[in-house]
Amino acid sequence: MNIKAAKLFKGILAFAATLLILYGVRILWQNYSITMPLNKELMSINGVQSVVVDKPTKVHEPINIAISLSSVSNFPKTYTKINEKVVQALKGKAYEIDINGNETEELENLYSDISLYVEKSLIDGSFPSLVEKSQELAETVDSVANISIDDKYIYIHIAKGDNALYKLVSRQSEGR
Amino acid sequence: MIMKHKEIIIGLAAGIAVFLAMIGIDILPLIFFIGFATALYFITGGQLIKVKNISVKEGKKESLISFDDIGGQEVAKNELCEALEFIKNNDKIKSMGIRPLKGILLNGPPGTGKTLLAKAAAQHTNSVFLSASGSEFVEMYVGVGAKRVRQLFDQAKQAARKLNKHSAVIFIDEIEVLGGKRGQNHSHQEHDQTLNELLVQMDGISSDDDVKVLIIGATNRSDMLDSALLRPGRFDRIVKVDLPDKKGRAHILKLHTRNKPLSPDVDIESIAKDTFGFSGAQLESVANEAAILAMRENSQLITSVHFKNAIEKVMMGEKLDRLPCADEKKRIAVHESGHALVGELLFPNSVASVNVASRSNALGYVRNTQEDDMFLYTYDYLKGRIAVSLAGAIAEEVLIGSRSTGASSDFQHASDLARHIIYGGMSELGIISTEDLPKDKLHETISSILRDIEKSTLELLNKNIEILQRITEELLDKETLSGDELRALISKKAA
Repeated sequence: MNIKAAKLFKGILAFAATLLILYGVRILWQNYSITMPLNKELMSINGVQSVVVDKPTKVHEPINIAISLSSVSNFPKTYTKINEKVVQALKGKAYEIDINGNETEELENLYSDISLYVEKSLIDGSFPSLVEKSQELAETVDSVANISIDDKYIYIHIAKGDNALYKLVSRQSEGR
Repeated sequence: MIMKHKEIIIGLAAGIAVFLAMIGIDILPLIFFIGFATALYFITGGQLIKVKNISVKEGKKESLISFDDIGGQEVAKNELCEALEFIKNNDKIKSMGIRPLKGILLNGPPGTGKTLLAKAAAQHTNSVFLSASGSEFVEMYVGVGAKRVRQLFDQAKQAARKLNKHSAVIFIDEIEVLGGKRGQNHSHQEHDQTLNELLVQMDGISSDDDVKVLIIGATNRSDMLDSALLRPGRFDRIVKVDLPDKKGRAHILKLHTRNKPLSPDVDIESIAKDTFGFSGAQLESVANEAAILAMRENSQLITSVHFKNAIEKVMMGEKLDRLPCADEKKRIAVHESGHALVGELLFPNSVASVNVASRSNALGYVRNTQEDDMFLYTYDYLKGRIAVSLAGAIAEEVLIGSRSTGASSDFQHASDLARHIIYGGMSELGIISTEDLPKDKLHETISSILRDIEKSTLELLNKNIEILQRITEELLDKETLSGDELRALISKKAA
């Protein structure tokens, strides 16, 4: 092997080793500083079945946290708890929470009907009629619809038997 | 170190850049900045960005020099060796409570072997040797010189630790550049800071240091040095490195000819005799030039003739192709014959050669030699030397009937010698105060001395006019006469 080839080999080796080390360190760091603390904190909340943290490939991308909930009696309260724990664990990093239940097609169709009233209430503020209409529509398919509203979100919890659908609609237009 | 593994550094940098790009960090400004910095570096040749480190040369094994390799400086060597014993026997000096020597100043004319002595000192004490020149500390930016002094001391200590040595010798050549009197320099703020830093660093040396640092400074202008540098505790010893005496010259010549093929007719002692006033460097040049002349002639051995020509070359410069016209050549021959004849008559065996071949600024010349080195001059000796100086012009007058401008430097030399007679209290004025002697009186006395000697020299030449003519003819014929040939001509006529 001549000197030039040896130097080229050394350079490529240094390049590959650098990438390997930096990625390795990044994966370890993400595991120990994000995934593990998040899992630990969120699993301690009642109703949380599983947590999947989708680590971002780019530094500016938000961390995507997919949470599966079992049937919870008070969705807004559970969500507030989840949000508090995430903020605490991520210490200012950007994140997105995706709440999943065990939806059926029937519940999805029901939500589709309700969403028209959600959109309407966001425009004209007719939240009491949203609650009323939602419950009416749910009753037609033997389901229960719990609609809660705070200053940020509209919390929609539709349940039929063991199945449940959770939706969180932001009241700010850009959040929708 | 960085340049040695640059491919790894490039690979590393590329890896980091790709990683940053892949995790979404915009590296374009970084690339632009690095590109700009690199362009600036190459445009300015690296001067604008980095402050150049002092170039320090570390003694290499093959270039190590011992005191045995240095000839003709016995006194300096002994004095230096004695000073160096303090470094070698550190435990002993500690028990006696002796403060370690911090610096040794080697003072002497150029080419006398000061650098060699410093290298030998490092070898003698088994120390790390670092050398720097005083001018390397001079910079227009304030603080850079001082930084370099600190760097030099740090480098010496680090190098010693790396090589498991307990002492380091820092040699600063031409130290007057760095250590000149403070407050006199144009950019004196920077200059003074550099010197102050050297003084501070020298003050910081103690016998408890794990690496003992000894500074050896070399200068031929010790009068220019700042007094703070010369006080005890800085340069404790001042070692005078003088021009070598005859014995020293022979030793130096032996050292420089030991790797050269010498003909059996080469007598080192006689070459040493012929080279009075030569420095070690000039003697080395003589040996080298002799070898070059031998090579030019395709000779296998270096003969005494090569050495004679080498001495003349080193003393007078290379032979020139300048050819004077016949009349001028005759005048030159007469002039040089006059010098040679009077020289030989007044100081027997003193002429080494007479030449009418041009070298450097001289159209012709007489090379003198003497049996022993002289350090004191008597009245008769000085008078004799004046007579030899004037003899050229007087010979022209005797044989050609007129004088020429070729004797002006001879007259200058004669006047200087006459001044020596007056200042030595040997003239008719008796003992005089050199400062209080009026110029007119000095001129009058010099003229009187020269006039008297001119008269006696004229008589001497008139008495030996036949010999003078014969020498002139021989010289015109051969261009060069050796001392022996000249003496043979004189004795032939005398007989």
